[in-house]
Amino acid sequence: MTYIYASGGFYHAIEDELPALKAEVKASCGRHIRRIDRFIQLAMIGSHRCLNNSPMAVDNPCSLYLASGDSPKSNTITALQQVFLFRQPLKPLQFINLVSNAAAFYIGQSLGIHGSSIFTSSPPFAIDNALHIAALDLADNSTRQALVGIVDECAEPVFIQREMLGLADNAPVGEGSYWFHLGKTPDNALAQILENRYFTDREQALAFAKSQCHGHSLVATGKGIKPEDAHFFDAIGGKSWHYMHDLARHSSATGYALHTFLQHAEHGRHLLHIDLSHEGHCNVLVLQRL
Amino acid sequence: MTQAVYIAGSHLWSALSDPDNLAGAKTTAVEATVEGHTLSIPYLAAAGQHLYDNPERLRIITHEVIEKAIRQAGWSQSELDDCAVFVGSTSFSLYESEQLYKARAHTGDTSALTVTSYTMLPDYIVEHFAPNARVYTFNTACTSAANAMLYGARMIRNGDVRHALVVGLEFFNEITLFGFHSLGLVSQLGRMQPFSAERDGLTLGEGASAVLLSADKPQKPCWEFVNGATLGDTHSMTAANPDGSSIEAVIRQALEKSAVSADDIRAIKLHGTASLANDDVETLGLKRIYGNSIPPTCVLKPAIGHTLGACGTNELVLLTHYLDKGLVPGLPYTYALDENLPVNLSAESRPVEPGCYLLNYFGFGGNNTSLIIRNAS
Repeated sequence: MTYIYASGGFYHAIEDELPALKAEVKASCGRHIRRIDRFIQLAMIGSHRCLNNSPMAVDNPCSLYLASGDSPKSNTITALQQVFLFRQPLKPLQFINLVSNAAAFYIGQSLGIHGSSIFTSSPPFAIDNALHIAALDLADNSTRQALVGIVDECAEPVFIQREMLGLADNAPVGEGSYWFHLGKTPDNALAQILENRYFTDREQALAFAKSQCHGHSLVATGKGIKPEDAHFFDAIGGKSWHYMHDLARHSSATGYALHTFLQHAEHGRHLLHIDLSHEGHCNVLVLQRL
Repeated sequence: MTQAVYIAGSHLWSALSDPDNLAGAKTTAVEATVEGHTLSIPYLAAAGQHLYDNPERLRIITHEVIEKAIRQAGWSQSELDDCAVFVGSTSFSLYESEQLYKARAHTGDTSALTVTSYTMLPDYIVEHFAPNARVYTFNTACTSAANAMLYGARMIRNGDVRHALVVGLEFFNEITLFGFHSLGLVSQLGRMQPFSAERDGLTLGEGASAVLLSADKPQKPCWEFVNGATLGDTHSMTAANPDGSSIEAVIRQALEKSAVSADDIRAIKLHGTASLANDDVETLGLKRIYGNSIPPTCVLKPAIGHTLGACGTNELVLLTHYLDKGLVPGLPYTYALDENLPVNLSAESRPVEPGCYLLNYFGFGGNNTSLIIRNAS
């Protein structure tokens, strides 16, 4: 069984210009961290907030699993412009941040985490997959604890982000970083992960979700489920939670739902989070607040 | 009893047109003008048709590599219907973004900036080969495809799936080439000489490969993917801890997870990037385990270049090609080895007994992975 000890999150909506994150990095990490790009800044803020909230000290080996819905964009865009438009050389650190999971390196170094370090980007189930991989490693004793996060940055200029997400001009876009501290023992746990199941058939997913649903369960549908299709999921029962209505569009919104549930749900409550890929595959994630 | 995981089939596309001729790759030079200076950077392009002008290039090559691996394994759709897909790469479809950007940037059209995607090729693989598959992508620098195999095997062992389609992809792109050049890690000779006193860096290469993992033992001699380990090292962004301790740790954990001892290892495929720091620290890590009795080792990057995120699967496929003949491959070309780095390399191919083999992969960002395979027959 996988338990969640703490969560930490950072989210904001952006209309015109990207706000600077340096002050947030310092507030969350307790110090300035230089020469890191926006994606790494977001990852540092969310991960530090998570462990700052955790009742459990890091028990190494603690492995790090970083997911992203869209993958880091700004650094790639800058590199394309630099190399092909301005014919300038890449700076060494800029390049290293581009080809490696540099964010995980900075987090591990800053928080004293020693374990494996995985970067995965498998939308729309990026955080579901990262939680699945972490659970595998916990189950076969490859790690004692896990720090799992999902991060998505907004590209600059912001209109590029709108183009990428297919949004109208002037629509707000979001960026966020949501992190979860996991382990195998129930002591001090905030919640447990009861199920993380993948279905190729939507009807099977619905039947499974229905079997997991209690009267007081929250049933949240992810960004892959279009508003016009949301009624298919009413058959599950429970209390519908359309968290996407509260958010500017960003690809790590599932992380927002999990983090918000962990912070605000009453003890004993279940969350069923269901998302749908464009091929019609479903993932059902079931959490219980302890 | 733990579920064993077998390598049911594989295929490699790389700079080698004939895997039996490790010296057969041709180094080319990529030229570009940066801030008024013309750079000429050695590169090991893939053999055969390059298809650089074909907008479907990445999909055509990916498709062919997977199709050949499936044919070799004799898989039908039933295996593909019960598998997950694992893709490791550092650049995924960056080449395509570059082509679009180069074609349109001067017009002010920024749409090319929106196409860089970690998911385009994984989505293609799922759509054309395994429509029921859950897909996992890994971008952990030079350990990407090695980690893709590790987690593919772990999911089979856990009973999540019966089969895994693991794909390593690293296609030519200028950002990666110029990036490595900016780090001063590219050999000016265009000739990689790992563990030589005269080594001057790496040559990047292009390569893609597919490895099919299965819970079902193939009806022919094959390899068992025993297990492995991946560990982060926060000493430095670009190099493992220089005392060799993090290399030692990941190898020891791989041995422990595989339930084999260091003495069971018959030969080792080194990471061997020919950079000063990497070869030093890999030697130290091995010496911490074996002292002066390191088993026979080999390096494969001089033959196909450093294929970065895909080297995990690429080098496994090439290594097993030689092990199937009972050989640990020798160096593709002769050079003087550094006597201060006694890792038991040989210019000549050497016979080797059946048993367990260790494969090392170490990358930027402190990503270190070691894998263990053994003869299953």
